[in-house]
Amino acid sequence: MGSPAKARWDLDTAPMEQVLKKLAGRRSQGLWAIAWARLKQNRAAFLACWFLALVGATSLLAPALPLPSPIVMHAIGEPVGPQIAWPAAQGKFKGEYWALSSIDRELVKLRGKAFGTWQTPPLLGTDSKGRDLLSRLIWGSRTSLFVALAATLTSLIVGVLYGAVAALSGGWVDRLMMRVVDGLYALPFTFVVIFVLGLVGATHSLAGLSRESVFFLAIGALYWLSMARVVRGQVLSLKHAEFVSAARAGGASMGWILAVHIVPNVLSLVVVFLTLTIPSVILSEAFLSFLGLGVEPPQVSWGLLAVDALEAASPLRVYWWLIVFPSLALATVLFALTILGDGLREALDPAALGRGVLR
Amino acid sequence: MAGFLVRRALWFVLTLWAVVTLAFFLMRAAPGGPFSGERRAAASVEAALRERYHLDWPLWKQYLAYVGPLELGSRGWIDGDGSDPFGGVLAGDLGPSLKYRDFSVGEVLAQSLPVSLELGALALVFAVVAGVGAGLCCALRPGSKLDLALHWGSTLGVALPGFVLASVLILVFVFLLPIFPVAGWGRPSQAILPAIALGAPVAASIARLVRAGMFEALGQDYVRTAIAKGMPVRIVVLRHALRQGILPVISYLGPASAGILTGSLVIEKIFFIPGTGQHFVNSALNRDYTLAMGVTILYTALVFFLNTLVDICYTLLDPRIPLEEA
Repeated sequence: MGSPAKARWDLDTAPMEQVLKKLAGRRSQGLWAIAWARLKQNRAAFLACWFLALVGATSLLAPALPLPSPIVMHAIGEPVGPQIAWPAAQGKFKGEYWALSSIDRELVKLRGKAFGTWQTPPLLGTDSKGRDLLSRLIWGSRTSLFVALAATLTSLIVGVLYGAVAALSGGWVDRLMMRVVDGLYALPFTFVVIFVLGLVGATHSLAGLSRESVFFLAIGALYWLSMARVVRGQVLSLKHAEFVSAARAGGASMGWILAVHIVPNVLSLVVVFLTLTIPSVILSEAFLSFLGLGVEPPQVSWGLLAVDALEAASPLRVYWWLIVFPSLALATVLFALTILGDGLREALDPAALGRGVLR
Repeated sequence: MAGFLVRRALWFVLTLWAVVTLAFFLMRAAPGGPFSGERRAAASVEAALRERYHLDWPLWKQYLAYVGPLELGSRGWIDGDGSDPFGGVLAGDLGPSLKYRDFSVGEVLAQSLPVSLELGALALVFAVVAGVGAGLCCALRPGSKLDLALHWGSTLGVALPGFVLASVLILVFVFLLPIFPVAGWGRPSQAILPAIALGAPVAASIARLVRAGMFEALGQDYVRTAIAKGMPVRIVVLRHALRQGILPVISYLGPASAGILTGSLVIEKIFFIPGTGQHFVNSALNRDYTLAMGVTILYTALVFFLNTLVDICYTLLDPRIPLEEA
């Protein structure tokens, strides 16, 4: 009795070897390579991608850019429109900020070495307290984008873990965990979040958590429910997929199956979900800051800039720059994120894989 | 149907109980109180006030008194003068407002809710009319300049928050071209800008849904058959395709009304509209315990009611879909 394994390979070794020889040296196109190629074909999404990278880099490097300080005030009583030169009293850079992190302090030092006391003119005008709008926009983008990333990460970690554990456990654990999610869905969560933030108030803390961490947790809590559902559904269908059964039959360990087969397949879904979540988180942050429940002055965020604009609005003088530029910034970034999300969804759509690039 | 409604009602009771309990204890856990604001009264006055509203009781007694019509006071179960401050939520009494001293929570809500509902209804009507209209225009002339413009416009509308739109609208239609009054409530001209700002993001989402839904519907065999037998395109679109193409919109109306409810918090603030939204934010900040609880209960009930209504509408429009087990 010969070895069954050997017998199986004996069947058509020759054609198989020919095929392998033909394919040698060619790398297979993975999901991500294909998706990237497809994304590049979608011109709008590709542009959005570069635009967002530019915005991200600008806001990350804001302390090192030759911008005026976002909080130094000048008692001029009235907003000044876009100008290409500072009045003499305001031309010199003053390095006043709120409490910065150590990395940001290094960046500010770097700025001092590179640009000295030179600062960009008020290209987008100033607000009613004489603070430079361009600087406030860029510093505000740091807050908005940081909140977006932190809250999205919270929802990502909680949601993915919760969904994956539910799907992999199965049985009554799965049912119980999903009932909890259903129950939470029935709560008007936005209102609970506003309520909780209202309670934490300006300077207080709740159950030992500072206002800022409550803020992140609350926004993250808004979004993890959908993430948990999406991930659970995907893992559940993958668990019974043929290639997973094949891997298991081939003797692969659970860890290997998770790392090589399940995680990459869930990841594409998660990436799409993330690009669509980030804009809604930015909106939530702006919304909550607008209500006075989010970021506190002297820090700035895009929501606070919108408040400033509305407060400065008066029928006598129209300070259009205070409304137009923050709106434009918020709109372009959110627009770009939406387009990138749509593009990624199309690029990563497994049903559409094999169309387009693969010819 | 009856079974569905009963299940929903049970879920509603459970949800409401969870919200009331969570909100009650969270609020008491938060530092500060209704009488420790900026203009702080003398200690003796504060103590008298706390006693009058029974804030000096232990928490569990306050909770029981808030929830139930147990008439704890008159039964002598708890200290006090043998009277109950108010009936409790189950008796339909939300108590006196701690901030607006002469009003009960019920009166405050009765004053402000009609304003919010009117604004919300206007915004929803605007959203549905504009959204379905724009979506139909896109679907009827796919690839045309109009389609492209509306499609990009709706993508932008989805991305833009309502308050940004509101400030742009104010800038253009109040300050640059003084057509509308800046704020307030009561005259029809005062309702137009807020309703548009509140409804526009929803309208944009609806337009996208209708466009996609109509594209799918117009590709169906029965539509081709109807056109092949010589029916006017207009009738085929409006009578045959629209019925299928509009289904996603119906299921979106639930989240849409929730979105309009949340959006109204900001829009009411911008346009100085005396609706419920201001009370929601301010009462939590002011620690007006009873009013905050009242508004929370109101919003929970509203969201739940709207979602149930949408589920029922969905089944009526497409009988193939069973009422889901909720």
